[in-house]
Amino acid sequence: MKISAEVLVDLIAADLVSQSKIGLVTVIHEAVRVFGLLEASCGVAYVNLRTPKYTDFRPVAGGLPTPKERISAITHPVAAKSMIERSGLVVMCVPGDAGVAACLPPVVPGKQWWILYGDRRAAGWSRASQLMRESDVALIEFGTTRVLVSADVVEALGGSRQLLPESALRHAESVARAHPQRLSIDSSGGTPRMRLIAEPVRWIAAGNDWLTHNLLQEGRALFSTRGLGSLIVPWVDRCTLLLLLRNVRDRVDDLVIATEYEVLRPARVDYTEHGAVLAINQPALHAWRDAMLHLELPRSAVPGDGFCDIGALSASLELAA
Amino acid sequence: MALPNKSAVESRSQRPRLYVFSPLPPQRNGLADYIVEYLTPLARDFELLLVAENGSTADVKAHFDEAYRGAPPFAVISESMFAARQPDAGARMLYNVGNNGDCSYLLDYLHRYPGVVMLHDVSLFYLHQITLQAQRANGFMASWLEDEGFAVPDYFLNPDGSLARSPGLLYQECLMVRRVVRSASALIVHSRYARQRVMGAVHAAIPAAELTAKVSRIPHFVLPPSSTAADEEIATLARYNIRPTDHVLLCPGFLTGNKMLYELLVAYRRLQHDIPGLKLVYAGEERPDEYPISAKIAQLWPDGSGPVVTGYLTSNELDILLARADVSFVLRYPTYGETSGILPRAVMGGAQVVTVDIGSYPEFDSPLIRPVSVGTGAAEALEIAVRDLWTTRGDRLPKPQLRMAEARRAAALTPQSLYRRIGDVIRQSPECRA
Repeated sequence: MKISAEVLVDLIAADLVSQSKIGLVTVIHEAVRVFGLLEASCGVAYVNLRTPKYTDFRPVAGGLPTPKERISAITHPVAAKSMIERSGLVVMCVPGDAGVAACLPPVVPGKQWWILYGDRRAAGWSRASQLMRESDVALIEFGTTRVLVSADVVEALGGSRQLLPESALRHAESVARAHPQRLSIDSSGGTPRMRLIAEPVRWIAAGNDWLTHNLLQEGRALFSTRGLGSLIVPWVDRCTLLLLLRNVRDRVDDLVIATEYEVLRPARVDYTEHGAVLAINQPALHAWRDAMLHLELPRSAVPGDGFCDIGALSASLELAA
Repeated sequence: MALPNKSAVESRSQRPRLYVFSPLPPQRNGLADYIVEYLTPLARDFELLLVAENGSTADVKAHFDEAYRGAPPFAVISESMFAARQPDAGARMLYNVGNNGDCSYLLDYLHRYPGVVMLHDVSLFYLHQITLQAQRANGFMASWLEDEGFAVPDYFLNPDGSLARSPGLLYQECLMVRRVVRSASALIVHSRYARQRVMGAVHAAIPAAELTAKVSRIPHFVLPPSSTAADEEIATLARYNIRPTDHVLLCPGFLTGNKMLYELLVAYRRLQHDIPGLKLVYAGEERPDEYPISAKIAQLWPDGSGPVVTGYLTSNELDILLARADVSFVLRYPTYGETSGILPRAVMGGAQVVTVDIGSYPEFDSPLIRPVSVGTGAAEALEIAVRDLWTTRGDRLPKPQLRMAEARRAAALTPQSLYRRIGDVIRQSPECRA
């Protein structure tokens, strides 16, 4: 298996909540993340150990979207602590930096189930493991990855082997059965691929008040009036994204997609009656950085009398080597 | 396309990284001209990255490639690249802000990534107003005004908080500065006037000691006029039909609505037949949306014998006209607290300079400056000033001597001599915590 520990944990957690009544799930991460599979399965809140610079959103059935529950443990430690203590399941990426780990709120070990994962050399392990009851911990390690889970999680999954990468396909199939409209598995090419279809508004991020305002008013995954759009992608692994860009007024072949060290171009652009369909080969993103792509439309494509938006979005990822 | 790897850059250089947000050339904007003078020294002290507004990155890169013969000592990146870099701890930000639409994109970053703000205007109301219009978010206006402690009567507001009409007063109230000052890690203003207005505008929001430490006054630089070839000078003067015997009145700079263009027109009309060879030249690009000066001239001089409007001038052309002028006019009413780079530049030309006695304008010290009072008698005051200067023209030193005296006076105000203080403010500003 070549998927990252983060995708594996997303699969495991999504499978877990599909099978059990767990209640609120909180993801604690140093950087900005959207756990795409988990969000397809249940309500998810995020606690960030660095203050996020963006607002992201969740759709509301029959209404306008609302900002996601995303709390900075630095600026709002009390709210972060309360959020964690109210959760049924807490998923945490253990920070590599001890200073960042020190921002973890002082949660009293309680009834919540925990899934901690990260590089086994990460400096945050000693602080992170204090959040769990010592008697209640199962440790699994593979490669350079360590996963620490509550015994209840192991029991609910049916054994610790279910935490190993080899079980990813089984978890994916289980989640796909529970949420066929969101996740599908395609094995026709020999290598299984999972394809996640999300409401675009879940993946778009706004960096200023006025884009947030417009996005909440319009209920769509808008680009700014200057043609800038930021996506929080569901997986940090190398994968393929398909986007339908609507209301673009010119060709967008020159669209710029910036990641931390690279500027990408779309792998393919198809122009349809609904808009431009972009295929993007997303490279692997850094484990401790915001999982974001920043898109910049050519100015000629930006409408002067409305907004360009993302009308549909999917991500597909190979599950096996 | 690969971007420079962060660790590779850091190992190559121990200089802190500095991201600069500003209108940039080839954009025609005084702020772009201003920042260009500091790029080379900034690049010496910092790993410099200029963040260009979406849509202009390629033009900005091409401009600097040409200006630095393919090897600028800094990088130009797009907004999306900046967003993707997620500024590293240790990086610093510099925002070059004025009260005009070209600075709109800065507002997307200024509050999220606090840094040093070079403030060229102490009212940023117009900037915020047109930013909200461009972003289709006019409803923010009422809450922002309230945040400033400024109550706009309901008559001026729509129910959604957008302005139904803009009372002219709003433009002069130093509005929308408080939010910027609050976010800025340090602030640079040019004049004592601007400093006092900023302090006054935000004193209730920020503790006095913190505010005093935050705001530095560093004057606007003064550049010596560019050296121009004699044939270029002859061609430029001929283009505007300026003869050696003419007595030239010059109004330099963008022809914006607050430059008292009409008052000058009235004064000129009264003087036209009293002073032989009197010629008025509006030396700048017209902004007809703000004041249709060409249309006014056509109304007053239907035979086409009225003042000349040159349109946009290159830096050399402007310097030629400033050097040729007998009297230059640097007028503002109302003034929004801006600092004009054109005032010292006009003085360096050696002409007598008539300016206003409000805002930061009286602070510039030179024997060539003659202030006039603004208000209802402004046209008459301009007329009197021109008559006096005409009458006493024989008492003055020759222009080359005046220019040399001004050049000596300006030696302490070159970008090179002022940079040390700007560099210190940036270096001492807090790092951007990622």
